[in-house]
Amino acid sequence: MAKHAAIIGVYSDPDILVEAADGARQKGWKNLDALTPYPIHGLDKALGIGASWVPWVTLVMGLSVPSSGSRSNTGCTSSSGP
Amino acid sequence: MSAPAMEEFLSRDIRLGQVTKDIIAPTERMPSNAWWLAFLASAGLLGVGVLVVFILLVRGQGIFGISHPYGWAFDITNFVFWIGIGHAGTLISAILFLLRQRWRTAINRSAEAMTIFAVMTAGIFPLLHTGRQWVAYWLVPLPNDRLLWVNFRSPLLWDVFAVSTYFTISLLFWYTGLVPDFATMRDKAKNFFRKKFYGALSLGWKGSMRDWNHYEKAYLLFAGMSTALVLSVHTVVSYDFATSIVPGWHTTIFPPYFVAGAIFSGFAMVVTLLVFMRTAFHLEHYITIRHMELMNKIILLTGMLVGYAYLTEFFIAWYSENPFERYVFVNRLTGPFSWAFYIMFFCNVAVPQVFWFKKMRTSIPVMFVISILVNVGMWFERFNIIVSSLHRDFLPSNWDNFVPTIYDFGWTIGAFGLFLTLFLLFVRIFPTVSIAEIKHTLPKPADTSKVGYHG
Repeated sequence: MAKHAAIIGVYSDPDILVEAADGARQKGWKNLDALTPYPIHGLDKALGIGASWVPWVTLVMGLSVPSSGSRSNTGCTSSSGP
Repeated sequence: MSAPAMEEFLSRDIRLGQVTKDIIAPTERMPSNAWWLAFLASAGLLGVGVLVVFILLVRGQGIFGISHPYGWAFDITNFVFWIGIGHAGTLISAILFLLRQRWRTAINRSAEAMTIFAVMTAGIFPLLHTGRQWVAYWLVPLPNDRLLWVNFRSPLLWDVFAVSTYFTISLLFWYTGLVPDFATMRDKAKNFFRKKFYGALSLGWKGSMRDWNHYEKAYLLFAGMSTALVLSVHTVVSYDFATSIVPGWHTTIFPPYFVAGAIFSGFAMVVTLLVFMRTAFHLEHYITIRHMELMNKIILLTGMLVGYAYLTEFFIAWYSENPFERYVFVNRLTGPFSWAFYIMFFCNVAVPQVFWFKKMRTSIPVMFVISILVNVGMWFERFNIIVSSLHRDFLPSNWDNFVPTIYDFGWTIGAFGLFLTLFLLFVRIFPTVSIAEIKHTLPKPADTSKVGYHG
């Protein structure tokens, strides 16, 4: 392993790809990735990719937008309103 | 309804590479004569609409048949009609996704496109009906020197937010689904222009598992948000009527009744368009008769829901002992606009009953005719609610008969022109079926040792 900086492979079956990714990760390879035409179940875990941060961004935006929206609502109807 | 396995829909013989070829093919060859004919016809209708809008901007609202006491007529009928059409796309893409109904995969892309075009078409009506279209941005609560603020207690303003949110979420949802497919089209592009065009649209998508990870989360979240919108948008649209005191409008049944009607008309429009699209672009392997049949079942179900709502309205009018409410409903059955009521009832309640028979549900000519009739019925439902409730108000000296002008008809057909033109452009330029999702749901070949699986 020490001789190689990187490895690359081509697979024609998703199950074999997941197996291979799992094997490579267990052998200590880091920064694994796979390019696939569609999402493959279990491949993210096999490659050692963590959970997506998209839900957290959604949560923060989801909480901030209604509060600014209600601020605009009360602003129009009470403080700035006629 | 239990989720049927994908094998019932897609043949085991389809290979992954074939999916890409089949779906990209219509965008690569020159358009057929039939497409040109359809495109010129819809662009012609759109031209009529543009002409009417031009005359409207020059001469004002007086060109339409609206007057006292029917301040609303064709404009809001068209608005509600088109917003309703959009609901099938959202239901297919969001609710069926969350319910793991995988058959949606073949039809969600085109149905979502329909949603976006329908909402765009719908939005034009209230915008032009505002009267002073050049200050339509006053609908948004902007800090300003005019000291003019929107009235947040008005359901018409809730509508502005409901519809704009609906449009934004639907557009982002649709585009998110398109990104991997644009990348596929970029990779398959045969000339420089196509490579640049789809390359720009694909936002640098590589198909890396890290991207897919984010993609799947984002898609799920969009589905969750859209699910709420399926129910909320038409609920808010129904509030435009239900929060008023006009007899025939002032009723609590409106929100569920409108939502059911919207899904009903939306599915009918999806059936109408897919009947053509699947044949014209040879997508029968992906959009199968099974798909069409399931949509027809939904039409049957929602048709009975609206039928139930129609009858409930009459029951409540009688049960409430409110003379005004009773009068409006007697007037619907026997008044000058009773023909609109009978068209609505026949098309929406009687006609879909044909779908109880499997033979009818799976017959392309039958479903085509029924889907058109359902949409005729749904247009008249809105017309019936709006005009028949308004034309005889509380003061009999106000009573008058609504007579549409040539311009009313002009912008109604112009709206169909806009919608169909956009849809025809969509089927030429974009992948009409989700390539990545079809590949994801494709059943594995019986003999997986075959190398051809990868394509």
